[in-house]
Amino acid sequence: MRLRRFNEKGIQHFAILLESLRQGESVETPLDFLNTSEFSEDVPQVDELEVQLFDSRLELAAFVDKLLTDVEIGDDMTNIGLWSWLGAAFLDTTCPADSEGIRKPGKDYRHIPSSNWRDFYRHLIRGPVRIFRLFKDNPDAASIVLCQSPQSPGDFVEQLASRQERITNPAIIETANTLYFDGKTGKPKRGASSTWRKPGTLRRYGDVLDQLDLTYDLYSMSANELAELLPDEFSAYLGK
Amino acid sequence: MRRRFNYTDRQRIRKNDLSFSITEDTEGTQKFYADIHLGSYDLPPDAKVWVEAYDRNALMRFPFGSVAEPKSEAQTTLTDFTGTDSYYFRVKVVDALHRSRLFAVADSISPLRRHDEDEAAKSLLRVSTRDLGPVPWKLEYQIADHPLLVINNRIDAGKSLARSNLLFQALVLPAIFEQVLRRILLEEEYVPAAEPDDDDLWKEGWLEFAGGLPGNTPLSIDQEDPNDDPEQWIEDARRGFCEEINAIHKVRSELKEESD
Repeated sequence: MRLRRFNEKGIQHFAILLESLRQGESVETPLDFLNTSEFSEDVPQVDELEVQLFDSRLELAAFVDKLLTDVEIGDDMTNIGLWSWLGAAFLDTTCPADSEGIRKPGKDYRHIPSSNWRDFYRHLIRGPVRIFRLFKDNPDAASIVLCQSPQSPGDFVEQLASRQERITNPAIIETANTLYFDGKTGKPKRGASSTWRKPGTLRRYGDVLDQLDLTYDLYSMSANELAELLPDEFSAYLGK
Repeated sequence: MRRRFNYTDRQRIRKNDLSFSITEDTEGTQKFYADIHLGSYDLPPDAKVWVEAYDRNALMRFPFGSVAEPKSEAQTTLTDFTGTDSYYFRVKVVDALHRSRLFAVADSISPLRRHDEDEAAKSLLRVSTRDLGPVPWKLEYQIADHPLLVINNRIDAGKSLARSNLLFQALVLPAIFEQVLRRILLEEEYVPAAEPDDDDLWKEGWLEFAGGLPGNTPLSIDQEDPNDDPEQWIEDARRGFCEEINAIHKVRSELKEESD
């Protein structure tokens, strides 16, 4: 399949399809409207696109980033037609069918990039690709926001990626990785994203970052320097 | 009115000591220039200066030398802000020796645009374009709550609508004007201050403008008058605004032009 991007009609058609999925209808992929010129246009690109299934946001992001490396479309992050088309092309990864063929797509912005800044990072493909590009030299340092399954980004992504000053700061993400990523299981540590603001948990990390941000330039810090500033409540997560 | 406390000894850099301007080439690539004056502050000469450009979706950082010599050390091209001009700047003065402590900060600085400096300097309302689906326009309060008029980029005239389309000016701007005043006075319950915080300067600008309109009076400083009715004040301001821009005449002349 050639890489394409939806036109406005294609985006609308995809939105209708998502709504029909929400109503319990089933669809087969690859979707037949992906390659028709009525709904999309060709994107100049070297390789053919082989749609695969991916288990993690990291795998998906690395694949799509490589796919777009040679594509000449200027600032691809703002290209809603492109990301919507990718959302449809990778629907089996981002919205897999259950044993009865039912898919639960959730909100449209998970598949069609929203123009609302509040949902900007929630697109299930553009979101991880953007993080992957920020940490391309060492994606393992961002495992805490890339290890999840593509269809379920979860609370760590929500809490860390929703704020620019957090997701774009390598020290903050690397420290979150040290605190909360379990290298043995390849997943976030259990209980670390408690919504009850238990000592040392993710939300408390956010609270402390907001306080430290008043006194320090967190961007100028290394992950070690930041970890040293964390209060004792984080000791257990730091393995001290 | 919100009060802010500073327990960190960090200094606030006055916006008068900063000037940011933007140029844009024919391909839409934007670049900024900054004049940063820190001579009147008690800051270590070797402290590092950083400039951050940011909006809700992106953040870029630029090294800007030291307090003794604040100047750009790298390209100042705003590559992450393609297709938008609704971003702001932040200046940080950072202790280079001790744990990156913040000595001084200025936030929410609006740039001037080289091609339109006078208008931008006077403008109370920033304008941007974006795909809003079926919605022609909406008002957003983005960084530091500054109002931003977003016009749907499916409308050809786009950003120039507010500046040059008489119907838009007469029918939409009064509604926007009222919305912003309601936000300031009713939602935020802001009271004009003699020495407002930098983050509140835009509100002061709106209230000063509204208070000077025909049929309206300036609000009192630093006190809430129990006899004042903000709803009525806003209504008076809206009427004054319509009078000021000659709204009825604009609508009539546009409709007449269409029928001719």
